[in-house]
Amino acid sequence: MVRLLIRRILLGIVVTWVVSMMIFAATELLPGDVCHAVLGQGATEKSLESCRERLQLNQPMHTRYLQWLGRLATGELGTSLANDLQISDQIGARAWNTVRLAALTALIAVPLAVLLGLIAAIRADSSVDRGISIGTLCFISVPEFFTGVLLVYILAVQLRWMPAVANYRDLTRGDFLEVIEALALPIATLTFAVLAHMTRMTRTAVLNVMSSPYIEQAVLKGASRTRVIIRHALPNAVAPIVNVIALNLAYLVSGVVVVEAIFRIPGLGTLMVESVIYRDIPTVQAIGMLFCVTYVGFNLIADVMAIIANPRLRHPR
Amino acid sequence: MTKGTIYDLRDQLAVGQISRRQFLKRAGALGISAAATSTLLASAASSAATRKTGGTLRVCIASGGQTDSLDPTKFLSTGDYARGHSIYNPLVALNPSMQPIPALAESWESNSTADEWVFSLRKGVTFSNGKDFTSADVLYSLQRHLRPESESPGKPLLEQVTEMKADGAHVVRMKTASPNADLPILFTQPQFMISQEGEEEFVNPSGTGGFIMKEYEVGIYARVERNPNYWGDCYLDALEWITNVDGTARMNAMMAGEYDIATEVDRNLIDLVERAPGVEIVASASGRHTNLSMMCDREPTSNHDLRQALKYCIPREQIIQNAFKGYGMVGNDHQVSPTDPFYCDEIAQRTFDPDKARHHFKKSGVDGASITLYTSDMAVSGSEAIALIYAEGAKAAGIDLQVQVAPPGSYWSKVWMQVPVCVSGWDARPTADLMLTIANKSDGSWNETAWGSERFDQLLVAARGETDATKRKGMYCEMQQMLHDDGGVGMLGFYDMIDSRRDNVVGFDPHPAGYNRDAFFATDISFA
Repeated sequence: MVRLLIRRILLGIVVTWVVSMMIFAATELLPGDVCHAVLGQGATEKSLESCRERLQLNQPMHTRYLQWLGRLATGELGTSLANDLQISDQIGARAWNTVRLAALTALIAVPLAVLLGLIAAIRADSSVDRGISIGTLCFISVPEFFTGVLLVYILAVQLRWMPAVANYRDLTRGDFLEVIEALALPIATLTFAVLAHMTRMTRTAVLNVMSSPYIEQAVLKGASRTRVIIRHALPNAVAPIVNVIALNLAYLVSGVVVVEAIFRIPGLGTLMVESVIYRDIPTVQAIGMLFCVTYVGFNLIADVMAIIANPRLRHPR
Repeated sequence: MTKGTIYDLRDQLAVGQISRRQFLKRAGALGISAAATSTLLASAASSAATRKTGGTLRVCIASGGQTDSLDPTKFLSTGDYARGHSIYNPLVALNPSMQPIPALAESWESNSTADEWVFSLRKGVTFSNGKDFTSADVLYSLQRHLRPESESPGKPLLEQVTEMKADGAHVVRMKTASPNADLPILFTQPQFMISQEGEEEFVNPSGTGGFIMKEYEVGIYARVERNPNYWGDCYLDALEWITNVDGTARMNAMMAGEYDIATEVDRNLIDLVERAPGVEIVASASGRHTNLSMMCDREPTSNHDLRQALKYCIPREQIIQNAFKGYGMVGNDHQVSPTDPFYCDEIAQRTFDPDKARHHFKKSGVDGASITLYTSDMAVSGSEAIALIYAEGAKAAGIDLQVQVAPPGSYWSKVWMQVPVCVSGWDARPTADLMLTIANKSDGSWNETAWGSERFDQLLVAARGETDATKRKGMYCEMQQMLHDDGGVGMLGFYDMIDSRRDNVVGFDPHPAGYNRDAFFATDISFA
């Protein structure tokens, strides 16, 4: 099992390294360099040249990649091209908002999804099951910017029950209730986005296990369907469910760009969008790497959990 | 007939010097949009409204982000300007008639050749940390722009000042390299706001403005509170500045009552905002414009008749109505806006005339299919739609030109000033001189049409140094006529700045200063 874990971790590092090359290459492909973006219509050859000199854009790409990777490995993210502040400080200040939003959403979405999935499995093929299926499919089919704007239009603009944008003072200095009020609509929007995936995976995984012989045995013993599912089927369906939950948690951290923009939450997503606008490449790269590490990390955790939950993987022969 | 810019007339209307009918007639003659006219009428009425002291006003700023700064030499966005104007003051302010009025400088005068200036500073003004405001602060603030490492947008403007010295604690003397009657207006630019001598960090800067910075989160949020020792009028207790660059989210929150003022209403949301209860549109006619840039130094637009043809087939009214939703003014093929005191209304308005266009086009002998009009929303938001409307107009005159949408990232570097015809755009400049110089001076680096005239260059310099207002206006008229007759600019339209306020906000009025307009309001605003 230890060898399995080490292999997983090494694989994670390789994946991170490959992604680092992709992130670097992708940011190189952004049209227009940072100097053109900053100087705009007023750019002259002279000011462009001095700007490129200052930002070391004149060196070849592979040299800059190796320098960047070296600094990254030592944890030095450098300074932002937009305002000369330390990127690590900026990310630190913004990360809390993103992580808090993700955590609160996960607290609501994960139990809700598993519960709905189990209900759908227990009542498979009934009208309740179909209702859950259709409902979650509808929510996964509409993009977040639509759900978000729709929620804002109904609950904030028309009914005036909720704030249309997250109030900055409430968000940073408010008590728990004020934070919840500021984040209610973003949490709802994100919940709708991640619910369907997890619900459907729970239902499918449980129903898959339901066709195995030992379940038949339990049914023949006279156990009720609910008991069969909770006690016998669910533990063996944990691996795929945890996997999909991990994927969705990673999405909650890295995929909040749209929701943060709609509700004006000063998190990593808005920082990334602004940095792209200003062609602040070091910040874009740093956040990109952070998202990548989050994904790899959650997947690693999911793998470990799956190994622990599965006796066959726990005790390999 | 009544004279002056529409903003002069608004003031005259407010004090009853002219009638509402005279006002509307002049607005019509200047081509001011119906929307902007009604905002002006409302502001003339509201200037008489009673003002309440106190309250916290929430302002949503549409631009800004990670490059925001409290250092005036680094001001780039309207957010910087607006926050800056609440905590600092400039030497000189610009009123809506585009005339300089006193701020930290109480008065100023020049010699007869307008190359030596004396600015007398306001006495008894203190910074928020209690220190007195003196000429040393002025010299320090201005000289920071001229440092070798400075990347200030104000640097090239200030370089004409060759000598700057204090004459006692409250007088500053300046010499300019060449005569410039507009020098005081230079100091209305937001970058030239006055900070305290010795201030370098700008983490918690002291200013002389109506408010003191209390909380500041770069690119997100700022809160300022009333400066109890402010030298002028100030109504509000506090202002909150919230940056929200997403147009839809901004207007949603405005309509839901989260903000009292939200700047920059996207044109495609205007209808929605106009209908929202409790929200008013504030439309400011200004010098911001979008134009055809036809390069006079290369085929085929070096042909005078072709340029005439391409100017005659601009469907001017249709562009204002469709692309600008009525919030704009037609232009007359030069860059001076009808809101500028030097706008020449003696030149006949060129209108959409397919017959004349066809006539000039035939005379030019150019093949229409060889002309490609490049465009991008990078130039001015809406430029791609405008190019299509224009192409239809050209078709009516028998000119079958191609429209090519160019990638936005490289528009200014690879298209503008490279191809013979493209859609361009300029933000408003504070003076006719700056606008005409930057875009038309034959050796200027942004002479986008490569049009050049010795007479024009001479007139530019002469008018800049002319202190007699009537003579000066005559010179600007001649320059506008030259551009109108021969230049490479086809004016597609001047467009209004469109902002929004709640109906209980007083003093957030139209101002023609284009992108700088958001800088003017902090101490003027109150609740009704």
